[in-house]
Amino acid sequence: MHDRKRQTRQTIPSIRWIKTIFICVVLQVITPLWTGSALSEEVLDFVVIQPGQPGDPQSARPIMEALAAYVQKGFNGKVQVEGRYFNHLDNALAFLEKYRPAWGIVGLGFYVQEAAQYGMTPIASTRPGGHETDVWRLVVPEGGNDQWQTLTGTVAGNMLFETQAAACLLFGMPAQKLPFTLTGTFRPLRALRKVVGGTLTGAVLDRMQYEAIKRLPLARKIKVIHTSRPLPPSPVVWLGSPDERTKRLTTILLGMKADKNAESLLRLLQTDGFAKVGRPLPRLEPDLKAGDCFP
Amino acid sequence: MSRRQNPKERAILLLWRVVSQYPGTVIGLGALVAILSVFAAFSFLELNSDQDRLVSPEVPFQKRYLSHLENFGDQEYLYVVIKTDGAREDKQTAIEFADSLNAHLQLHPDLIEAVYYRISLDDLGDAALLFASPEEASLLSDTVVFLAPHIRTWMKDGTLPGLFEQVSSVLAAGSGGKTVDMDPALMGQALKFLNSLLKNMEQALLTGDLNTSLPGLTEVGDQYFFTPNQKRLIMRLLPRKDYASMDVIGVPLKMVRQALDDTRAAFPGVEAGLTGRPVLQADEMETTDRDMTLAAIIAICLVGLLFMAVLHGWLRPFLLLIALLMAMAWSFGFATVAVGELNLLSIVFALVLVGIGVDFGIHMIMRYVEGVKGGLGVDHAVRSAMLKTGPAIFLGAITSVCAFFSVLFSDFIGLAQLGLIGGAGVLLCLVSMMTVLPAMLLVAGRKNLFPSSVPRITAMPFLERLSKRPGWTLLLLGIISLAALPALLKVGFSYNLLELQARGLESVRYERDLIEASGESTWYAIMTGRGIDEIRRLTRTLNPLPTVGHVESILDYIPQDPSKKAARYEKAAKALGSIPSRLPVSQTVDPRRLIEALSRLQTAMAELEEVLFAAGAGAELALLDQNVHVVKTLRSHLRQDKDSARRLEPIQRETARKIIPFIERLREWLTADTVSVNQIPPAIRHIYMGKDGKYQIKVMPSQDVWDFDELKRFVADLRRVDPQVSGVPVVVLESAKLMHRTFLSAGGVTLCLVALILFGYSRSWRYVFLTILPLGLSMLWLFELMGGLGIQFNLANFFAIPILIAIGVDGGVHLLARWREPGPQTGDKPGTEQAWRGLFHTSTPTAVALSFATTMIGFGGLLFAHHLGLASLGAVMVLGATTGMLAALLVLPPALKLMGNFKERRN
Repeated sequence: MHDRKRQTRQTIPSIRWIKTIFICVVLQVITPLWTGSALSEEVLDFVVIQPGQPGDPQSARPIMEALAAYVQKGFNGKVQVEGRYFNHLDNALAFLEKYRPAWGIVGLGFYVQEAAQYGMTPIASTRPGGHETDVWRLVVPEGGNDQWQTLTGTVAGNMLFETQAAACLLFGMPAQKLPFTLTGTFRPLRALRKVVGGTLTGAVLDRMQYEAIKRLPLARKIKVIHTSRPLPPSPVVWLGSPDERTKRLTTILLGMKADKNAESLLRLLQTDGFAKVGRPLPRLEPDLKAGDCFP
Repeated sequence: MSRRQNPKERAILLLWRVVSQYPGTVIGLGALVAILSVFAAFSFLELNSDQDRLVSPEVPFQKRYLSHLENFGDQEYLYVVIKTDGAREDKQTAIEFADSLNAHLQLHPDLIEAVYYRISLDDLGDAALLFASPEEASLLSDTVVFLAPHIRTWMKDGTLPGLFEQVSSVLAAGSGGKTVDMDPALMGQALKFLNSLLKNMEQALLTGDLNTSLPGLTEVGDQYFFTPNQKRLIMRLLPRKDYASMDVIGVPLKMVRQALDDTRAAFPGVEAGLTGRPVLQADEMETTDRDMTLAAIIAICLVGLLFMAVLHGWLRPFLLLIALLMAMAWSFGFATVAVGELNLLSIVFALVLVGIGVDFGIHMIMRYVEGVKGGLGVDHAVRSAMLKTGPAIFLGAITSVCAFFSVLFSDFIGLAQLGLIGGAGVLLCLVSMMTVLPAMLLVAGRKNLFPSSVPRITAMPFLERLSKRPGWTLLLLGIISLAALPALLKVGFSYNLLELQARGLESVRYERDLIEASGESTWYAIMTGRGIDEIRRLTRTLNPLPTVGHVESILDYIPQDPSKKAARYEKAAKALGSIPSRLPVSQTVDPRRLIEALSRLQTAMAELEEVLFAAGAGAELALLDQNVHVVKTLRSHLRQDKDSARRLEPIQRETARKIIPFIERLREWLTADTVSVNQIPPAIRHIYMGKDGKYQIKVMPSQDVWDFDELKRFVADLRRVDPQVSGVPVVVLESAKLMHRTFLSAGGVTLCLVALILFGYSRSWRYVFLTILPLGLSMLWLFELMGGLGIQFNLANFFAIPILIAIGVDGGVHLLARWREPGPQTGDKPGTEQAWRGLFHTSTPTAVALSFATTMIGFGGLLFAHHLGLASLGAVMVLGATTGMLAALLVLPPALKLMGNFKERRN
């Protein structure tokens, strides 16, 4: 008995030592494995929401895959990235209700209208056509009304799906206060031809569309009666609270312009690289009184 | 009892005898030699405006550069810089501008050897597609796989309706997003092809005219040379050079500028300009030429007026001018015989002769006038002038020659030749002023051609009053000089050659723009390597250097990691490989099928228009819009006259003939799995591979290397990588340093030689000191003034120093000679108080002042130069001549008076 006790007394410190060494070894081995596995399982999915733009999620898949692969490479393969494209507003909202990706590239109108709802934080800005700002223009037939305040009927544009946001951005007042109706269209060129043909009151063109139309004979048959102030282009947003990954992602995106390997991807994304976010972007707050725009 | 004459006096006396006895012969002989010289110069004297030959080919850096030029050929480009704001449509306009300008330039292959501003797939040879990024390769491969079934379907019948059916399917898939890449820019070329085809069809149907020409499909994917920030499109033009003409690229440059003007007129919104080293040099040549002409006119008018005022009437100045012109003609003859050519530096010798050579004549004429005013006859007055002023003129000429000959052994051949021709010219001016001028004075005087009245301003007695208290005067001047010493420290040396150029020149503006807007430079250094591995190693070493912007080499045309891309293309090649290389010969065009196909095409194009509109692809949208209109017209016409479809049969055949080679070429591109140097197209290979098989690397700086400090850092960095580095930056750096060294050593050597000659002449160090004293002070004042006015030395105005030394010494020599000269007006005892008093009543101070004044006026015209280097040369010469005159007239007389007082007290 005594011997056993003595033996036990001698054994306990040894066991303690062994336990300590074991725990250390386990920690040494497990921690990196755990950390590594956590990184490799990190999901950094994104969504591109451009209501009114041509195409469909299926056709945009190769581009989404290319962007996902590029970002994944930027994170040294330690994250899983998958991208989805939506040009239909309802589908995009339905998707966001079910699943919340980490980040996205969204149309300005979408951001303005939904930023508060989905906790979006702008982290970068697109540069469509190399421009740092966008401008929206309201055009009417050459011989039409010069005052937008007295227009009636329907005004169409592919950026007008988020009606409230578009009205606030373009006219500084909510849609219900306008004397005409704003409507979104997937065929802005056809809408413009209808404007010239007299079957539509007016059309809203963004900078790229306006520049493009200048090359057509159609340009001589329309006139601009209202121009927005310089607007930020589609932002890249982080959904939720920004963290370390946000900075890394921003760095990757900002570096794309200088990366020769990203050239074709940027072309497909129709942006001349990404830029830092300039001034704060406007957003419609949910608690604003009806009939108000931005604070 | 007459004084014993020394050999110098005996020689001048002999000269006088010849001149006085045979004045006509002397003049005739001088004129004859002048005519022969001018004839010889016109016939044999060549102009060499090659800047690469200004430095000795034996100097290591120059030897390397010349050997490099020999090995790789002249690759000094003109740069057309086209501005954009970096936005897509602006870049597209810049591309259109460049294409249009290129079309103008291609009309003159005799003037422009090559134009580089884009690279097409064809330019890259068989391995063209291996240059794509992995993503591009993947997309391209998928695109070809996607298109292959459509191509295959069309090739089964090879008809126009079949083609439109397949195009409609592709476009419909594209606008529906089913293709892999709907990039509008890449689509542009296909749309152009479609546009031409449809227009040809419209023309054939409506007018019956047959046009089967179609644009090449292989131009798809042209890459244009935009700067890294995408804000400038650069075109490099290689002009043919003519070194026998002063402006070297004058004719090509004129043509390029005209083409640019025409292109600008067609693109009023585009800003574009021309720059590059050859353009800057040509502009510099033109500006300096214009400035020199203006300066010469100003100088001639003002000096003429001054002479007429001082010398009373026009004849004396005219005779002086004739003597000077003869000396200049002889100098041209000498240059023809001794050198055989004039270079960019030695060509200015004539200007230098006007500045220095005319001074000899001034002293001669002033002394002659003084004699006449003193009551001497013509012969006596001329004799007196020759014998009494001759030695000082001779001494002044020798000291001036020292300034020129001091650069004779410089490695800067341009300066050495200027030194030789300039120095010889000064000696020939001396000969002319000592023979032809006295002979003409004799002839004109003997024939009473001069006005009966004599000049009124021949002496400067007021100077006596200024020097009454010599100690106080010198002390005051000393205090002023010391007080201004801090300004001396502000004088530096600027090596920046761009700062010497005229402001507002297009070439200068665009050179600066290129540096400021894009960090690009038209200068590049050159390294060579024996093999590709060495070039790789050098490139790896160079790329991280902070002073290196980027490098260009043959490696740019050898794709990296080709095997992975080749594997991607394999699938596409297989898809294309199953396509028969021959089409079934289909002769007829089915009108009904064509109408139906066109209808489908119209619908597909209308859908695609929306896509292009959303993407802002204006150019492609415009093309598509045209296509839609043409298709409408075709459909309407075919519906009315179905038989007219027969007219489209030749177009159908030609279209097939155009598409088949493209598909074959595409198959070649897709099957290339690697590329060796020998497979690179010769036009590109020859740029980077020398005659000896070595390869060159062009190293572009990251900083503004017109700034000398940046240039030094750039070259130093490159030398750490390869001590044998060459190229324009190295040549400019070394040439500037060589020129600086040459001028400094020339200044030192001139001073030493002048001191030795003065000592040899006088055997008195006191005399040497007194002669050089005004020169030393004038230089000190000049530097102080320059510091005060913020004028820096540079590679243009540094040239003033040897000239100022020459004329500075000249003034001292003449004043001292006159002070030492016995005579009725200067007292019997030379070098005494009486002699000092008498000095101010002679013509010598006036002649000295006039000499400085002519230099001042002669170079003063340069102050109005647009070329800032010339303007700064003018400024330094004017300031230097002013300080030289003030030092000679204000410092030397008090110093002489002190000397006289000291002598008298000692005696």
